[in-house]
Amino acid sequence: MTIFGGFNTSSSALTTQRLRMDVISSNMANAETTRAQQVNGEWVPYRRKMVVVEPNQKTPFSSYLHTAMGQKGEIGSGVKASAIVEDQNPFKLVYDPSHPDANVEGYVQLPNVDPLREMVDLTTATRSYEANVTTLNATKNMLMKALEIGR
Amino acid sequence: MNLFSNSTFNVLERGLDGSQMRQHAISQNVANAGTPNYQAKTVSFKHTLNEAIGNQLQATKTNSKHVDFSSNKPGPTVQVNQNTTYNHNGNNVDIDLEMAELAKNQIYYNALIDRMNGRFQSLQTVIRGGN
Amino acid sequence: MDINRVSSPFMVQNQLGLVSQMNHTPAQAGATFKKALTEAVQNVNELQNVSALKTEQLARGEITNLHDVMITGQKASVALQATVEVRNKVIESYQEIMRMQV
Repeated sequence: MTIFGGFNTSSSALTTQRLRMDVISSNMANAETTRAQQVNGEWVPYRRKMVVVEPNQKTPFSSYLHTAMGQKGEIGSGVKASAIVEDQNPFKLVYDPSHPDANVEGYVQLPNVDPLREMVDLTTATRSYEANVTTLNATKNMLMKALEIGR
Repeated sequence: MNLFSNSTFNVLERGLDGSQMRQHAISQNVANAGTPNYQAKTVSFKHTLNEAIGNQLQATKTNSKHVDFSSNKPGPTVQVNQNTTYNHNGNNVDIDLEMAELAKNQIYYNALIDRMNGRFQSLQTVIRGGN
Repeated sequence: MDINRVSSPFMVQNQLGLVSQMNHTPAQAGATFKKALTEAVQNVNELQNVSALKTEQLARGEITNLHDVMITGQKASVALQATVEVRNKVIESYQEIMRMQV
């Protein structure tokens, strides 16, 4: 960890939260998309996407080395989005015989996106982003204060 | 002649080291406020300050085989808080607590730097002979 | 309480000074002064070297905490100021002695 370790930690979180917001935007934009991809010649609706987040672990070797050197625990270095997975919940079925993608019974498969849920996730991501901006500023102020030593 | 052998300097330096490490831990906790199964980390460095002042808690030993209190922890230690649960996904970061700690830590750090500057300025005043 | 000791610290020092004066030849005194000065200069030099090393590490991005670098630099600077000030005083007193009418 160098002097900018705190910055890296906060910025990794900012990146992750931005990615979450991008994915939420994508979900909202595609809330009505019935032709997202073609499977066996048939159109399948858009599936809601989710970001999988996990702590940014250091390489195992350095963590063993730290333990061997007597440093008990170590602070990790931020967070990372390890994958974007698709929600496997069933699609919404809506009766709309005039829809071009309606099946023979007149039902349309719509994406499994719940706009309310997306809005809640968006708020969470925004708040988390703001909190990380606050910590980033705090770290910056500390470094600036350290530069004042001897002024 | 050592101008800086004063214990105040040592305490200030150890305090700054610990405070910076705590800042890093807080950043890490806030960054992982939504990560499943992440457990909050805290940094404690009171023992380093005591070592800097030189008043370590000594164990009274009546037998040579008795073990000293002194744990060989050279710097600030990181503890993982495993006792609480704050979220249903196994995460126990209390974001409000972290923000309060952040504010406290910043004021602490700034105060230590100001005192450090004060010490240096006193020394410089003495060296200049009051001019 | 020992009032004498508190009220006149100079007496004790004067006596000590007398004793040491009697034990030292001028050459010995000069050697002692030289040793003290050399040690002080070496100390300052060491602090400057440490400061230079830390600055180099900072430039290479190998430093973990910034305040450490700043404090080391400030310490080196203060020690240097102190030494320069002592040197000025020593030269001043030498010139003062040289101006003396014999």
